[in-house]
Amino acid sequence: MTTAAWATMAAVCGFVWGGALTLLVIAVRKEGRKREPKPAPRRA
Amino acid sequence: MLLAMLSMAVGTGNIWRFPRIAATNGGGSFLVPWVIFLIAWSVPLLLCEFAMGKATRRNPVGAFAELIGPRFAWMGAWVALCATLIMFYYGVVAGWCVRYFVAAVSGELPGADPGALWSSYAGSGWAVLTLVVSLALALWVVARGVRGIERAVLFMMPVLIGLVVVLAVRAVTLPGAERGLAFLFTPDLSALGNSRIWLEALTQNAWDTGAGWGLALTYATYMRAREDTTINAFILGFGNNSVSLLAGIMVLCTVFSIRPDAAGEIVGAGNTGLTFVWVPQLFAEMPGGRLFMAMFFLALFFAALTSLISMIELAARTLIDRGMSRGRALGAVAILALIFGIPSALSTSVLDNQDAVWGVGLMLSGLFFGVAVLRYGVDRFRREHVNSPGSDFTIGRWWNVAMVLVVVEALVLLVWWFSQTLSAEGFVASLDPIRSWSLGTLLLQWAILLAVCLGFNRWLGRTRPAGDRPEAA
Repeated sequence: MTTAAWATMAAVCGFVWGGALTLLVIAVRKEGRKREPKPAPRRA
Repeated sequence: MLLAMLSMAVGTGNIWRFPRIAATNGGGSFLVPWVIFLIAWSVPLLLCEFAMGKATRRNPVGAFAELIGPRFAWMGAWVALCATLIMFYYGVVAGWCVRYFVAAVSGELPGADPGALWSSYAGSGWAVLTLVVSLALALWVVARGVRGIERAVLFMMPVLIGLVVVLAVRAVTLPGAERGLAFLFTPDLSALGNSRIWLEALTQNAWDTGAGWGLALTYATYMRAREDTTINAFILGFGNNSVSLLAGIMVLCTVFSIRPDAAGEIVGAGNTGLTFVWVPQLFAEMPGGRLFMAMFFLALFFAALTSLISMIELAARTLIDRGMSRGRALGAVAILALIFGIPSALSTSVLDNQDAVWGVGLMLSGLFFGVAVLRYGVDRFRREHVNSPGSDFTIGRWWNVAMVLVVVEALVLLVWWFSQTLSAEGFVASLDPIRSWSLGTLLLQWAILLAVCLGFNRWLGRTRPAGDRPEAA
């Protein structure tokens, strides 16, 4: 494989797979935060 | 929701179509525009489709009519009919998965000659039979409800994704696999001057992600009003392209490992069955290969079946919204799917022709979505519908620019491709309507579909009362 091929592979795979993984992590954390029970309101 | 989105991330478009299109269009040279179109085409269009579906709660015809007026219902009809015409040959590909699953279970695969089963099966009467089986199963599921299949898909999709990852890892560790990687990733910058590569890259990205099909729009009509769609549009785009890339590595590394001089064979026409011919050979290199192969083709069939179900639902929904009963609408779709699917089952040349014509037709679908948003007011659409209440993320003004770019890309690419083809092949040869891939065959079939859409525009534009719309879940 030439240097250009390695560079293309790193750029394309890094962008596509890296992007997908980052988005998944963001989405899972967002879902997790939504499911956390909200604190009950304090009574006066 | 996330799991459902991940389930949508895999289909035959990624595993069957991507490796052969990438191979045919020069590998590395193809990947550059393909990645560009993920951001510059698919993601903005998916955001647009989700927003349009949630805002109008109608099928593509009604959505276009409601958003920009009944005079433009024909644009929505193009979107719906283009997806339906893809569905006609998609059933054939789903049928291939059935046949290869049976072959894997019975021990016919992997044979000594990698292409023996493909040569005897593709284009034969058996392909018609498997088309009938896949269509019957998809229609049965649509008619009876999708709850059962949903549970199966939630199990099968992670299995398929897992198998694709394992297979890709195994493929790159085969002796001589680096030739496949070199073929897939070596860029030839001079090839970027070829309009066909850009056209195929855009089309493939639309195929991978489902952008411009009207399926995301239909899916969104059933979503809760406050359900977030922004992150899902991004995950759908990046997730689909991730699986496509894995499938490309899996297939091309296997081909080049088993047949080092394969470049001449897989480039150009005649590679329709690339994945079906070579993936069984990869399983032969693995322990427990036959079991995993059967699981792979079963999961691939489920992936194809879910896409087929969505396409049938889209076509039937359009007829139901015109006043037809659900039973009659499904019957009409079944008859049409069989009549128009049989030629593709009996001839891979016909299938290649339909794949080219309606694959590129998706570019027009995307163009129409872009035109609709520009006519409505791109910033107004973003504020009112994309950034609707309940969105977890706010989409900025970059989306306005992206939607203008969608229209510009489609127009520039069409004009560039037309002029380059006419000058390279000559006026008479390029307009030959009989060839499976020619400007003539595309223009002729597009003209027929456009004439139908415009001819029925007045009827299509008659919107039905809001009470007929599906309720948000």
